[in-house]
Amino acid sequence: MMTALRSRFRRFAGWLIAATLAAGTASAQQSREFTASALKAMGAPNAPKVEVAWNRYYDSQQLYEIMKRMERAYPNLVKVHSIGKSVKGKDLWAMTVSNRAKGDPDAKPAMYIDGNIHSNEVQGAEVSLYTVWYVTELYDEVEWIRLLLDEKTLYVVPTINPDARDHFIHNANNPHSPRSGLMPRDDDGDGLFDEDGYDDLDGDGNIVFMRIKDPNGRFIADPKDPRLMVRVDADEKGDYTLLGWEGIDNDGDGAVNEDNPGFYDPNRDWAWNWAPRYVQYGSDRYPFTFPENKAVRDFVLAHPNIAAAQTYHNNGGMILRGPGTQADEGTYARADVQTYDFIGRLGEEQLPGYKYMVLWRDLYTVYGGEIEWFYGGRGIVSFTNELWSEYDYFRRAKDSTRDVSQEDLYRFDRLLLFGEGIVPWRPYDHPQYGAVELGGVKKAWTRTAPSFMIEDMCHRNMAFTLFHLYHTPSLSIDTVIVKPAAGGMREVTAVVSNARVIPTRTAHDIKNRITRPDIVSLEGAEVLTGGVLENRWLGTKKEQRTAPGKLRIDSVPGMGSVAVRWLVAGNGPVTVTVDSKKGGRAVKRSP
Amino acid sequence: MNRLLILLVLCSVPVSAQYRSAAALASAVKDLASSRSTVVSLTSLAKTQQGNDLWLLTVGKRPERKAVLVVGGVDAVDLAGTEYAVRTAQRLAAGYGTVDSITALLNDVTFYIIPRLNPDAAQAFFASPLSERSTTVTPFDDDGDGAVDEDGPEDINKDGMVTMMRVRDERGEWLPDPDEPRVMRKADAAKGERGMYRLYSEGVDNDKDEEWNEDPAGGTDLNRNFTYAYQYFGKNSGINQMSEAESRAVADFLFDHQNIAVVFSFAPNDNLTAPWKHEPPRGESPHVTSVMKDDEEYMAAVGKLFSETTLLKDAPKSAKGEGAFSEWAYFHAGRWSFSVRSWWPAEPPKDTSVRADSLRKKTEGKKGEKSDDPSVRALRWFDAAGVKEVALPWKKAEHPDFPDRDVEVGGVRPYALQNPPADSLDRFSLPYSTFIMRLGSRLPSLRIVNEKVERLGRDLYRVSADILNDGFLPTLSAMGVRSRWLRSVLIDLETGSGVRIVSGRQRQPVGPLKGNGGFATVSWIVSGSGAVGITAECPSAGTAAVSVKLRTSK
Repeated sequence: MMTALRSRFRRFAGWLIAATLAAGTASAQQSREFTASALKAMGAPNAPKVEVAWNRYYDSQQLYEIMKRMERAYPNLVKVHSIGKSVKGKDLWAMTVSNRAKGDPDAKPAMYIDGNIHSNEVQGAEVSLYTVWYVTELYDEVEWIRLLLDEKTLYVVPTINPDARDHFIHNANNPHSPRSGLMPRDDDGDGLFDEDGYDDLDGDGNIVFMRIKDPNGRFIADPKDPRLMVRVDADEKGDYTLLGWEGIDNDGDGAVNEDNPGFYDPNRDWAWNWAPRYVQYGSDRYPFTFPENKAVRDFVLAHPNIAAAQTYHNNGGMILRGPGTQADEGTYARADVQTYDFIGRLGEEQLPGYKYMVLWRDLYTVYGGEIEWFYGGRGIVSFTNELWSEYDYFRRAKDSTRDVSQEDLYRFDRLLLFGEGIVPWRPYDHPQYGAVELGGVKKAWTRTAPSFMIEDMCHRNMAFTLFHLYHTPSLSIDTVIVKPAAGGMREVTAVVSNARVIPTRTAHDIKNRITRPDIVSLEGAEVLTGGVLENRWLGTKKEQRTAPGKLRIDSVPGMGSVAVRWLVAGNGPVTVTVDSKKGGRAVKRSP
Repeated sequence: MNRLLILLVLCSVPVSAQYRSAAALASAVKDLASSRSTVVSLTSLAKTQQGNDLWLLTVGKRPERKAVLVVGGVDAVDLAGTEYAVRTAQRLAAGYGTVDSITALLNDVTFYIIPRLNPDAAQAFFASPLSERSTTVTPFDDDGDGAVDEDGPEDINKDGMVTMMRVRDERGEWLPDPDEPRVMRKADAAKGERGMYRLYSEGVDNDKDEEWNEDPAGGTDLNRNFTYAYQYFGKNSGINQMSEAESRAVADFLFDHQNIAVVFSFAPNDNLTAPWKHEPPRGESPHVTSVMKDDEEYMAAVGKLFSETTLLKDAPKSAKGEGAFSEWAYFHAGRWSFSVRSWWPAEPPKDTSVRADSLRKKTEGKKGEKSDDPSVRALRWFDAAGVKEVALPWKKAEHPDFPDRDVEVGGVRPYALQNPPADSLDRFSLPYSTFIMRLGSRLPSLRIVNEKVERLGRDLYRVSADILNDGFLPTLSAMGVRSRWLRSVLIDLETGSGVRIVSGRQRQPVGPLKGNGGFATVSWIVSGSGAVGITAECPSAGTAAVSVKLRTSK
């Protein structure tokens, strides 16, 4: 009954949005005129073509509507496309963002961004979406952004788990559920699938805790905030026993909530350092068991121009990189770690309270994680940000921590949310436990930023990723020098340079031949010999015996250069081109 | 001599004296399914890129029952395994209703048979020139140069086959084996040997990178594409684990069918003539890398059963299990998994026109020694069996890449070392069929015994029983338990309206139960009158049920 009503309402709400969109052009124009005359605050457009309120969390359909509005407003910068379907058949909507007038987006060095692989970790979608909104709205106004979108490409998939995102938003959940996607799984080994999940006993849309009065309990209500349960000291008696999350034993097996929707961890499903479930909890059949992840994999394989990647999770205030296990340390080559360190430390400055960390060493061991695949499988520099941290509560000058203290959570709720985030304890007649009480944090509190802090979170994290994108390779041919040589031949020397920190191929990419070598080619004359100059000043050269007109080079290092030299026959100007999968192209003609 | 084997010989089986192409295989499995529809059904698990079907034959009276999965052609070069698998299906079907032991077996056990795991690759055997191929047709840039599938082999000497070429070169590392000059081996410099040749597979350097045939068409070997000990960036291991439609389809089939207790595959990963040994874990890796201690002796016993049934020995060394199907089926999918090559030239072939004694002498070489080199052994076997044109003499050829050097093309006929002559397939497959059937009769099997009712006063009773495994194999392997994929034995207490459970769970898991009499005791306290039913069910072991009246026993 409850569900039917809610879904009818949702359909109505969808219609309402559509109607507003259709009739809204005139009023949007008025609103732009109204805001355009205000004093522009730095960091935001004064009169955006696309108005988006960055103070709530949108479901997958709403995210899609906003993407389409951006595409309509900036057709030359944004293209919305689906990269695949979810378990339940929803499209995985992506945006390709780049100035098409300045070249094919798929041929420019690119960054891939996604959010929400863990369905309850919703805000990654808003950060991703904000990123596209900001760069499109400020394209004309900020030169740095304009140059970035002229030279580079963003591929943004705000949610790669739309099924369970919508489940989190529209169904009763706690802050930690579902996390999984929605492919049914038999968690308790009884041959039944997802038959004993949480139950929203009081129908308030939140799965909170159950407590029962018990003279031998180990918990009491906190005298300072009776909504909070605290454990008594070893020599004290308590008043309550905590019975876990709201629910009943649906399948009569003596266990409560032991077979929830899912359960698997989509972030243990990737083909690097993958481990079966007896090693890695949440792992499933094999890498890319789930169609959402398979779609991302297919997209990345089809776009070898991706040189950087970012995924968004919550929470804890972390900028994470791989490896996920100590045993995989050897994969992260020294030169690549230096690149990671540079970008990671930049992020620590842009994101107060966030720490740049190595997964296995500073957080926990992970097999088969997404960003580890980006680097291990594809040689792409990749980070995960854990959005929202302990620091964000009271901004005390201390390090962020992984686990938010319950006291701060409740205190913040009291002082800044005026009690909105917590369900106070209230009696409930439980069909199996008898008289219990229900209470605790609401699903949209704990792991997600409150409304007034969302925009701050979006902007700072975006800034981090834009610098990451900025530091993908930017190639140019600095010089082409042609000199006469003996026997009527000419000597051509060219210097290819990379003006950014990320190399055209990471050390891991080179070692495993993930993308092909970069090619420096000469046209306009007959190439007799050619090679890379190992020392350009001494002129020591490593000859390439076959096809010297197309020199294969390992990489153009970050902030570095490669010099090449040919002996050629024939007169006239020559053209030198560098062509790199992850670094793009550059061309120069000799005078 | 075993009775089943004799009975099998008597079963009429359609004879095919040729290896079957995809089309011939399709018609064979369709014929079988239509002519024996009471006990055989046919499905396609996937379509390959070339549009071939990944066929699955289900042979058994009650398909949902506990089962054996048989997989042929795991390595596409092993064509014989496919033939043995088809013949096994045919023999099972023919035996149903005519041979009592087979009828009983098929009433209780299902045989899922996938004759050919890699149909696209196997088609290379029917193409020209004849060239061995283990990989799917998925395009793959093997040498990472940005060009895909640009440097495959060629038939330089136009003899219809891709073999080897040797190039006379003072820097070469190879020389003809002094004992068997038809076979090339590496020179041992420390023993004063000097190489004379460079050795390449037959073809030209199409992309001019000074490597020959390093990027042929396609590039994923399914037997390197599974998750166990997968080699990232390994040769032919694929872009990632389970990247191919075929590997995913068979993996999904196994995960979806918990009733498959045992997997048998024809593959070079031999754990039947050389059963796996448990090794205590070293280092801190959480991965299980050798057979679990508790499974070791069961595996060894099945290996013994194989040897006793087939009398086969002297198998070549087992292939590495990196990304292999058979290892995956045990270590990651948690099933009892057994694998062996379909054929190897080891023993003199029986019942040939030449007397066995003299054959044995011939195959053992001049000094009566067995050679360690499988190619040398193989060539001697073929000589002894009178099979010609396996060793192809080295013959001069013109080669565009080596205009100034002597180039000769020769070696061993493709596919010859892995596959027996087609006219012996019926005979050679027979012991394998027998073994597979015997394996089927060793699955776990549930029985409920010692059911007891004790009256505790008024209408309160304690009901107890033992759940017994009558089968040879445990209900789950230790690895199966570790894998956390497989369900143990579930016990249900069914109570009518007059009975209430006072303590104990209506449904509870027990086990796993060891082989040959392993048991678990279950008990409940109930109140009421009438009867209760106890059922035990395990996908890999079947079901058992008893009904117990609520009154004091005896």
